Amino acid sequence: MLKAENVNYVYQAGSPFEKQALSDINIEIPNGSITALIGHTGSGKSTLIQHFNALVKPTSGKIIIDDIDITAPKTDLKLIRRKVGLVFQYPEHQLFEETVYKDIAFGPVNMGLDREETDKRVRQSAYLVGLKEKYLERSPFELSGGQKRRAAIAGVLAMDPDVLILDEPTAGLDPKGRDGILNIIRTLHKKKKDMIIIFVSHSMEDVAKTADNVIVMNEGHIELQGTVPQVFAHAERLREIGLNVPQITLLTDRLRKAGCPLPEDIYTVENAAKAISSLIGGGTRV
Amino acid sequence: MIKAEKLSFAYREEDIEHNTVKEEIVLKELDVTIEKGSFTAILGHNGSGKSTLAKHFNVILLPTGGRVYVNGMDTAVKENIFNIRQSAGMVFQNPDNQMVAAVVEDEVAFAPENLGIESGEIRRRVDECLKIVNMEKYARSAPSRLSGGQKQRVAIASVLAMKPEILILDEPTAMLDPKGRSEVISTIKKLNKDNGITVILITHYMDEAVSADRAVVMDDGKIIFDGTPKEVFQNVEQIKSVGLDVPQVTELAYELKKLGIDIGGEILTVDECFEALNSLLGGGADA
Repeated sequence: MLKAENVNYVYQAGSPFEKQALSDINIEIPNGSITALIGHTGSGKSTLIQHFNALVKPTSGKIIIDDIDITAPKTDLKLIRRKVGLVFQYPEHQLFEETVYKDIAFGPVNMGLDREETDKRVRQSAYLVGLKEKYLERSPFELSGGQKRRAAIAGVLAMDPDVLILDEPTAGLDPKGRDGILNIIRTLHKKKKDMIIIFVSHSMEDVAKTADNVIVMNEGHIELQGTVPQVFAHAERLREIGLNVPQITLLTDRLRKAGCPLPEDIYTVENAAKAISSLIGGGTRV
Repeated sequence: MIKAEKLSFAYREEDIEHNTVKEEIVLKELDVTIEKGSFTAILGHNGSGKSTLAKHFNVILLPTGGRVYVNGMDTAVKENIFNIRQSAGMVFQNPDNQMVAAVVEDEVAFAPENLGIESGEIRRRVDECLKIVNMEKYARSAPSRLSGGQKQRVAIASVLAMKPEILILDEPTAMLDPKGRSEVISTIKKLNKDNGITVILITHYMDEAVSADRAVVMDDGKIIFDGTPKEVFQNVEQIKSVGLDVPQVTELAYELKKLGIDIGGEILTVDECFEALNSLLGGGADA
């Protein structure tokens, strides 16, 4: 369980640049769930996730992970950073080793794991992100953009975190690369049953396809939180705060307003097609 | 106007004696003509060759086979390079990689200064170009303090200051958030409509291609679809099979058709889909 209790964060307090970046954040994220964090640029998403592995400490309030208060003054930061793996935006920019293998092994080696355990973790992580064995001995700089990003994610997974946080993991990828990364998230969710996965996204379509729960940030506070259907039911509000609402959500919203009795929980093309065809009924299957 | 005739390109690695040791063919005998004043979107997944094609349009790359003509000038003729680059300007994906100056207006003045234009004219161009991209308020700002969308609009203004006829944009919104993307796209549309600039937009975002006159889809170094966005996006299965998306409502119309419900083809926007469905559902709805 990851909890945030009344978290506030003020940048450069007492200076002319003082800015309240987070206000009264209260969150509870259960084990074994995928949570999407959405909001426009400057809404506080990145500041919030930096609190989750104690890169930033709150001005007031607490962050509690598995009953450990990570914001307490004498917390073992090393332990926290092993527990909570953070994959930054464009993580491929941080690859630096001679081979993909060494890059993924960097975390485990620094944790003091023996060679055998390190090897196991490297291969397992590479497998989880769908990186073939043959790439392990290559230079990370010979990989494609999508593969580099997978290698970087594997590097964090190799530390075997309980909480995995990804900051805009699909930014800048083409649709194929994007679907690949979203698939990794879903695979991890299935294989690591207790892992908490949190990912930041601008794309509500990605969120609809991947997440269980959604937290919507706006100007440093939580605007909405709940399951995907609960949050997507507020299409108007989401658009007002500068999010790109998927076409399907806009369409079903309008159809409902025009009097069509469509169910509330439609947010994929597949569901929409089914709901509309059952409404029309007369449509004959071909 | 740009014309590519049987354009081929391969990345070659050579040993010291200039023997080819490794060859990767990226473009395969492409024929394409881009008309003056048009707005063309070139789509394709990473590695399809779309950026390589664009780099031939302002002589960053030279064909290994075939020819490319920009306004009738052959890109392979060395004497033409200067004039071609002046008439076909290019904007890249990452705005941070193309900024050189510490102040926005210096950035925009950089190219005209290098062209040896007299200072009064430079001043006029800088003001005019910043106005076109709606960044005149930031003339004295530092590029590093701008948002991604603002930086990219400054990058566009810097290219416009050379008064090009053709603007080539290589995934200009890939690194931007939704707000930045829509700022850049509406700027591009305006340049095409109001200023008559020929626009070539390389992208993998389908919703951006919808606003173009023409969509060219590339896969494996070849053009597989070429037509209006409405025509091209009807090929839902094929487009998805080459790793691209179609707009959600286009896909919905396609899925409904498979279920035996025909709401008509050529649906790209929420408005079009709503109209089609509303009239169909009209009877059943208790409005």
